[in-house]
This record gives sequence, structure tokens and C-alpha cells, in this order.
Amino acid sequence: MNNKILLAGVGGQGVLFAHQLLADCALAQGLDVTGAETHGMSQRGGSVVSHLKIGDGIAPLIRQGTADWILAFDAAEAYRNLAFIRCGGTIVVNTQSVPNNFPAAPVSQQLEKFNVALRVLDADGIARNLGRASVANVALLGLASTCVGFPLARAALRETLARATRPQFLELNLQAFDEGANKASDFFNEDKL
Amino acid sequence: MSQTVVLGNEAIARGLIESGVNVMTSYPGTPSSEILPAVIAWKKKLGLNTYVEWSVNEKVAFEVALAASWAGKRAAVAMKQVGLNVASDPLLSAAYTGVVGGFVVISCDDPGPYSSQTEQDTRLFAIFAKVPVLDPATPREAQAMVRAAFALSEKYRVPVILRPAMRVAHARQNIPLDEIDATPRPAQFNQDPTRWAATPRYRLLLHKELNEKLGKIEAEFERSPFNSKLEVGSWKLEIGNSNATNVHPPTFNFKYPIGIIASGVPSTTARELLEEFAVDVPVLKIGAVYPLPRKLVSDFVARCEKVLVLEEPDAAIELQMPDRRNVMGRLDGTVPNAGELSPDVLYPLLAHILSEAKLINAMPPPRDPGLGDALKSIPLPMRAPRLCPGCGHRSAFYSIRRVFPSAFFASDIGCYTLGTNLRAVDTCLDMGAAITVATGLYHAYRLDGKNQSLVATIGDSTFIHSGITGLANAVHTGARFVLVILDNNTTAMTGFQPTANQARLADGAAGARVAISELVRACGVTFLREADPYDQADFQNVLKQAEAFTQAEEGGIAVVIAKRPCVLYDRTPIVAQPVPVRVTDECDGCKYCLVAFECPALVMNAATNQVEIDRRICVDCGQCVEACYKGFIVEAK
Repeated sequence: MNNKILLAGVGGQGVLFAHQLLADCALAQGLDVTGAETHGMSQRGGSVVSHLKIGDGIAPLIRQGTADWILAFDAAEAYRNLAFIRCGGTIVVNTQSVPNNFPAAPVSQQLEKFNVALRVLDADGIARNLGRASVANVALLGLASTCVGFPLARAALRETLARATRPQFLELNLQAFDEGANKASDFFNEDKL
Repeated sequence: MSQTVVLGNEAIARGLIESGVNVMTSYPGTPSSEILPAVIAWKKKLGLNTYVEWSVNEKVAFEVALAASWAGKRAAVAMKQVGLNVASDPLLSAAYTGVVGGFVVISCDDPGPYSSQTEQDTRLFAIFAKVPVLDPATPREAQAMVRAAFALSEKYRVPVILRPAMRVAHARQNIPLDEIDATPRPAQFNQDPTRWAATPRYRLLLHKELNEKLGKIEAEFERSPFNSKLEVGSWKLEIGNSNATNVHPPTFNFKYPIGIIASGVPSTTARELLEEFAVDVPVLKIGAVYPLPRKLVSDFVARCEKVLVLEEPDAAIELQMPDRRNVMGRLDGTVPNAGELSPDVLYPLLAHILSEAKLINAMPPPRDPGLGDALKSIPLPMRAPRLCPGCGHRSAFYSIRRVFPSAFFASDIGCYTLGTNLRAVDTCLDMGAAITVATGLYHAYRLDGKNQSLVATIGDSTFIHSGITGLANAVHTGARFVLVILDNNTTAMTGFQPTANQARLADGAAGARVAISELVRACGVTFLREADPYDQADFQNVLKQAEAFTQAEEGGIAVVIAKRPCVLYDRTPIVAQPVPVRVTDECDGCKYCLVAFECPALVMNAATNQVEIDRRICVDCGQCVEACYKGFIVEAK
């Protein structure tokens, strides 16, 4: 098995934390992980992209048109990295409380043509309601974990999250994760199996 | 065995710890900066007696670690590839003197480049210096290679270079946690002037000795586990030392249409792509690159009609190949001779070669370009690197631009290179060159009898790294310019490593502070002022005094130390004295502040054609009040 996941966002959104969480969860299930991060300027508001391969991948980077998943913590970064998605892949996007900010019409037609499934979530809204903007990444992971074919199960990822979180933020993180995961019902009729 | 998911640099650190490294030095530089902190983390966790230091530059780091190896300790030094330029003097000499305890030099390359001034190949440096080099393809391999490098270094008494590319250093992978070598290595320096203080007569003998060592190491590399085939497809080509019992197909004269020799990250990418194309192409993976195991390589080449060499960032293997007649690579233009060999570059390249060789039917059709076309219609925010909101460098550059409208601006390596955005940086050559470039420009214009206004800017860490010698030279030769030392109290760009200007050592222990102001005075500078760039009126006043001093009859070089802690590293001054601002309704959208002050928190509202404050990233530094000369940015009382 080899699942290619591309994570995209901007500095401060916790892209690399999400990457580490997915990798740790995969390893806990006996799966090998390989991936690559972009560093350097990310702390200064720049784009952050990380590539993650779960299973028998050995090369760090994902080729365009071959990613099974794109998890975008920022809509603009979703567009910027959209060329990575494979036909039949799934994109999970944080809409950042901006209605209809993803995808714009011409792109949406193309995604349909490529049979790409779309999961949008106002992760920023969930995080804001919980009183802590930085848990938006966890909410998005919650939704991702419920998607058909996602390589890591909701319960397993939740457990890894619980292990990785400091006690004072534990309840908040689990709540964000669950709220994201519970939004899966919104997509019940749209699943392309 | 327990496993953990780590960054490539952390895997290297783990390899160092498992090798029982006693002394580890480094100067920070992307993509190498995480190695030393990870060694420190293990040292603390396991209670190890390891000496670590952030040295003031790579040459110093190299020499400190080398001498520890001369005393019998296992020692390592880590840096980025351009750091090896700084350390090249001791590197070339140490190849001759040799080592006692294992000595591993880690130099991280940056194909791309992503965060460096060159795409240079450390492996070519290794050939030049006559030092063996190992080229890991993955974090797991890097961890294993560190251990092998120590063993090799001790066996042949030579420095050994480990060359991880950025995609190894910043890859993330699960690695095993192997046992830790706890062999005691007491310090014992054996005085031997014919080696450690060799005169040219003895140097010739040492050179011959080195050549002999390299011959033996090449023979060892013929059998190195890092130089192995990758089993792709069903042919399972057996080559070199391995028992060639199941070579398939067995035809005597059979040659593979295409073979691939690859090292580092491109070897992993090639393997995945060959699997994707589902073709049986033999791959010789070279991990021990210099001295190249020429027999292994020649045997492989003889079994193939054509051989494609894939390596980064330059042609270290290809250049060492004895016979390149059937070889395709960077030298004949088959492989691009600049930039990273990402899967998006290698895919069409391999597809073309495989289809030419009739191993695949035709070039695979490209995907419907509709998506790319559709994406072009969507405007995306530019996310070019910029100085952070609240950065003291911005305030300093803004004032410098105000006081020196027609100066040339020599600058240096660090966050403040982003002063280009404020048009306050004209040059960035290498560490410390702000001062020497300003000196050279001064003398060039002075030859013509011209009085060109010159401002050099350099960071605190960079000044201590390589600025001091240039300053002594500038004072000595009578150069005149204004030097602004941007002291933000840390090495900010690479992750807040302490500088010698602070009383804190790499592992948090107390160290002696070496004050920049004292260093400046010791260089013979007589005009020295310290000022806070946040106090823009005072700072500009000091800059004007400095300019006057450079013009005065008895004057000379003028140094201003701009003191303001990095806003990411130390928020306490801003938290203690926040200055929230607002833009008044009178804003006429002239964009002066956007261009001249260039703060990411100042944004244009296209609907109102007025500037707004982005509250999500504004840190309430209040500095932009000065940036609207019309007075439309005001303190929000």
C-alpha cells in the first residue's frame, strides 16, 4: 500500500504538526513513512508544503498528478498545489469562514472531470468557536479521517492526537477533531465509492 | 526494535549519538541547522558526556572538532554547503594530516537552491580535497552512514564527509533506534610535529600517504553496502562482488538497453518512477561516491547499451567515470545542469529515454491541461518572503533609506537580506562581505576622486562570523562608510541559535559574553553609537552624525549598532509597550507606506482604495506611524 498525502498551508497553521501526527499514527500501525518538508522562510508568512507517503514509498517528493490526498489548511494554498491531485483523489480544504471560496467555477468543473472528491470544512470557524484559532488544523484532520479510503482510521488518529497533545490543550484538541469528523455527515450523499 | 519518525537531520544526530560522538560543533545554516540541537536533545535525555558548541563560524567549528579528533575523541562538525567554503582551508590540510578519533564532516547541499547563494556540490569539494564522501538517499541511510563514516575515518585515519542533500536533511521518515556505542575514548594527544606541524617536506610524504589511503578506500567501496543495485523488476541484475548466480537473462552477449547509475535522492525518485513505468531497468545505486569504485561502475556500464547517470546537484560520479562514451547525464546535456531533480523533472526525462529505447511504447500522454488553465484564472496572493511585522530591521532600513537617499547599500547573509524589499540592500555576496564590499566600493570611487555615499548592513551573528576581519581591514586602509550592525540578539534566520554576543551556550549553559561593541572598538573604530531603530527620530539622528563623521577631515568609518531584539525570538519589549495603530478615514491610497515600509500587516483594501491593518498578524509595534508622512496612520488611543 502506498498513500500519497500532500499538506499545504501557510506558516503558523500547524502544517508540520499535522504531518508529524499522520506520520506517527501510521508508524504506530506498523506502516513506513517517508516525506519532505519545506522550511526556511515558512515562519515569515510563506507557503508551507509537506509531502507524506504512507506505505512503501522511498522518495520524499510526490509527483504532480499522483497525490491521493490534498489536505489544505488555506484555500489559496489549495489552488497553488492542486496540480498534485490524481484523478480520483480527494481534496480536503479549510474554507476559512469565507463562503464559496473553494473551488471557483472553472476549477470545480475540472475537478469533476478528474473525478476528484471534495470535502470543504470551515475549520477556522470551528476553531474560533472553541476559542483557539490554532486548532483548525486538528479539525481538518478530523474530517479527513472520516473520508472513504483515508489510510488512517478516525479512532487511531484521535488516539495519536491525544498522545501528542499537552494536557492543558487535550480536551480542546479532541473537541476540534471530533467536530471536524462529525461534519462528515454533510458529505454522506456525495461519496464516490 | 523501537522506531520513531524524525527529520533527516535528527536521524543524522541519532547516528552521531549511536556512534558515541564525544565532540560536536556546528555553525547554523539551512538545511543543516537541526543536527546540533537534536544531538543536544539526546545528550540531555540520555545524560551523555558530550561536548557541543555553536561555533562562531564554520572554519572555527571544523578546527575545534578536528583537534578533538587528534586527541582521540570521536568528533563531528555540521554546516551547510557554503559553510564548507569557509572551512575549506582546514579541510584540505586535514586530509593530509589525517585524524585519530573518527572525524565526520557533515555538509548539507541545497539543490534548487532553496535557501543558499549557490547550488554547489559538496561531493566535488570532497574530490578536490581528496576526502571520502558518502551521499545518503534517505534519513535511514544517513543514520547508518554516520556510523559507517566513523568506522571508515578511524580505520584509514582520514576525515570523512557525509553529504545529505536538503531533501534528506528535511525529509521525514521512520528510523530504528539502534544501540549506542559507549566505548570510552580518553583524551590522548600524541605529539608528532612531522604530522601535526608538518613542513612542506613532510607534506609531500603525507600527500603520498593520503593517496595510498584513497586507493585502499576505493577497494573497500567496491564492496560497500551503500554501493548496491536496487532490485527493480524481475531481472535482478547481480553485479560487482555479489555472487552472480541468478543473472537473468543469461545470454552471454546480452546488454541491457538502459541502465541507471544514481545516488542520493534522485536514486529513490528513479526507483519509484521505474516502478510506475513497470519496466525492468537495472539501477546501480552509489552511496559511497568518492573515491568512486571504478571497477563496479565499469562492469555495470559494460553490461548496458546506454547508461543514464542521475545525481544532485552536479556531476561528481559522472566526472569520475573512466569511460563516458555510452553515458548520458549532466555533462552531455541529457540531464538539466541546474536545479533540483524533482519527480516532475525526472518523469518526462525518463519517459523520453525509455520510449527511445523502446522499453515503453510511447511517451505517456500528458493529463488534460484544463486544470492548469482553470487555475490560471484564479488570482492568488503572492507569498514572497518578507521581514516579519514588528521586525527591527525594517525600522532600521526605513530610517537608512530616509537619511541616505543616494547611497549604495552593501548587505549580507541573514533575515536582513530581505531589506531588498525596502530597496535598502544592493549587494549580498557571502558571510561578512557587507563590510569588504563597502570597502572595495569606497576605494574604487576614491580612485576617481569621488565621494560616494555608502552604507553597509550586517547582522550580529554574521559580524562575529566573518565581519571582524573585514572591519579591521577597512579601518586600517582608511575606508570611509557607515556600518550598521543589526543586532537582534540572536541568529534569527536559522532558528535562534545564540551568538557569542550572548552569555548563553548551545546547551543552555552559561558562557562568557563577547560584546560586539568591544570588538568594534578593538578594530580601531572611533565613531561608535548604539541606538534603538524603534526610536526612529533618534536613530536617524545617529545615522546623520555617522554620515558627518565619514565626511569629516579627521573622520573615518562610522559604526552604528542597531539594537532591537528579534520580534519572533523575544516579544517582551512589544508586550510591555504595545502601540496599536489605526488608519484614518483620510487615507488616500497613495501606497507610500506599502512600498517604503513594506510591512505584511499593511494591506490595501481594493474596495475602499485605502490601507488597512491586518489585525491577525499586526504585533502593535506602532512603527508604521512614521511610514505615513501624511499622518493618516495614527496611534489608536
